Amino acid sequence: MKKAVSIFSVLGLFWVGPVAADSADEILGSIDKNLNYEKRYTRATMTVTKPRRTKVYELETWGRGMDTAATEFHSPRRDAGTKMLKKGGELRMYMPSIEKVQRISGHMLRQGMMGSDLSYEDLLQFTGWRELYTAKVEGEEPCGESSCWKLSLTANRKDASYPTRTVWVDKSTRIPVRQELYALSGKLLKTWTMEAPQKFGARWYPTRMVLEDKLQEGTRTVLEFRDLQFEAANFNETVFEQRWLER
Amino acid sequence: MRWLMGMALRNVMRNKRRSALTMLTVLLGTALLTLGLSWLNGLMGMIFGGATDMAGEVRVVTEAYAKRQATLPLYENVDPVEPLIETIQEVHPNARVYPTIKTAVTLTVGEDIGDHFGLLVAAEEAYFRDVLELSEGIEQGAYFSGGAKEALLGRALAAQIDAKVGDDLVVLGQTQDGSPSPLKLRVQGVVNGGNSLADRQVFVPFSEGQWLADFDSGATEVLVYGGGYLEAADVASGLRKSSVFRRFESERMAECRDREVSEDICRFRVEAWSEREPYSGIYTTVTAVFAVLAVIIVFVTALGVLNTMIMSVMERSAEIGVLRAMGLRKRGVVGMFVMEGVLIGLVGAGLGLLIGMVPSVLLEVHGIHLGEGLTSKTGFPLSTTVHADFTWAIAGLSAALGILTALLGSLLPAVRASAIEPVNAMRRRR
Repeated sequence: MKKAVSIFSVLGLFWVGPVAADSADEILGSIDKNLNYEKRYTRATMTVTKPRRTKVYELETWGRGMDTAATEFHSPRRDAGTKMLKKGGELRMYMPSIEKVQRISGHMLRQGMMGSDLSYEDLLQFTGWRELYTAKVEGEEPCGESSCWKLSLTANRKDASYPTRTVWVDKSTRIPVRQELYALSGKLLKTWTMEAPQKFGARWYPTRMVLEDKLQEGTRTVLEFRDLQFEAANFNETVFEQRWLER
Repeated sequence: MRWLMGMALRNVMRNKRRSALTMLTVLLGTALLTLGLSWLNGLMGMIFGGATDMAGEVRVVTEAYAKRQATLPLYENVDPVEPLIETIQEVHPNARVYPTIKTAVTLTVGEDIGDHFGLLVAAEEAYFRDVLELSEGIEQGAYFSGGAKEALLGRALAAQIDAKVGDDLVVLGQTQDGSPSPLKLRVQGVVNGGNSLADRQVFVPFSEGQWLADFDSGATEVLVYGGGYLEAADVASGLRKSSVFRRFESERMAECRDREVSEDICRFRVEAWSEREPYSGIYTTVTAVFAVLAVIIVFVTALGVLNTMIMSVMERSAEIGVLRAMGLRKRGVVGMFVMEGVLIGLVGAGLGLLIGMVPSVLLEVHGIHLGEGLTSKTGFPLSTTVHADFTWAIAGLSAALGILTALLGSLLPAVRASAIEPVNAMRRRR
């Protein structure tokens, strides 16, 4: 009996191991492990390039889980002091020039955050992929110096911003290094790349993201993270309170 | 000629009732023409005058802006706008040139944001004062004092958002990049904008519009005024063809190519109001209505004249036969009847003009009130009261058409009379 168990164990190792590593669902799970967090703090530079001009924003963000996040813009001068608070499915923005809080809803959600290629809806739906999508491995492709799985993702929910995505996931870091985001009609809406991954404890996390809105010609948004801290981040959680917005 | 005139006068006086009837026809036609053309002229002035006040007699925008103008795109702006203004003024030194910014915003008075939609118009104070004449239309509060953070509200918009003079007005728009952009302004005054569109707008200093849209020194539209709305097409054409303007545009396009930016952002579209929809379509329609109205009135009047003159010919056929037998030529017969028609036309048109002028001038002074309900639902700058616009050109045209009508109406009977053979006329009498 003991012998039989050990044979099954060995077979199990050989059999279950590769399937777990290659299954689309497991890949999504490992992406979520990398990108999702309990706590996160970062300072970032967001460079928004349009055909005629480029704007550079300095910002600070605090995150608790995937559904609570606060952001404060420090520059340029006209946007300094602008704050955003995401709580669950709601997004509120404090505008210092009128000292008022605006709830971002309806058609405004589809607009780019501060004119960038990242929409407010992207911010709200930045939750676990495993829950949001059903994935299928389309194959493997080289990506840079590494090798990637090519996945096609189909949304499980009707309210997903992007009903389908094609994602290239780096096998070594489990980071979606390139994404193509499609509308229900099949039209390519955006591309999103995650670059310069760094190891933070057990997770890999990109320190540079590039988004391009394919519905607009010549636009590009580059997000560069500095001072990234995850679970060990030490910050005052009052930033997640409504009062912080108007303070 | 004197003989003809005498004969015509004698014939006019011979059957006074019939002559009066013919004269009345011409009189009515001329009076109707005077009133109808004055009314249409007033209507055209209201629609197109209002349209050009708001959208420029000539408008210069980027090609990219013109293509997406329904969405009032801010990104496709002219920045910097000053060199373009200087170029236009070099081509048309007497033209008044105003940079403007128009953008959709939400407006609220009080704590909340974004309850009501409106159109924000940002421009230099001279545009509001000299073109829109807002300083004349203040209903509550005061006109711009020259300070920043001031807003004038169209009266319909003020009523909609329940705004009063002195209230804090929260305006939420967008920057040219699409980022939410708010303004906190003080309601300086409530204005009667002169038409239904202007009454639903908020007017702010140009600098506030530039801040809202995040322009360094740009504008979305450059409006040109010079020579009135009827001359606009010539002004636009002159600008398009001028070598100064074309050189300026090609320099801009070269810059665009160097920066690998779409040429549509650097190329300009210069259009007179009458070349732009929806006004080009309305202009064609109103001009056609003008022509159709004139043709109908002339036709009906001519029929009336024709009718009475034919009766006259039939009654006088024996007399015509005698005159022909005595040696009067066919040309003389035609001249006699045409002269009779012209004499009747002159008196009828003169009286008709006087009678038509009275209601035209009354309508010009008092107008007809259409009501807010009707005018506010249209997308055109309609005033709630439509005034006629009587001009001496209309008077001249109406009188000339009245006389021409009488002449045309008498021509056919005159030709018919000239064709009468003397022998047949005598025999018929017997």
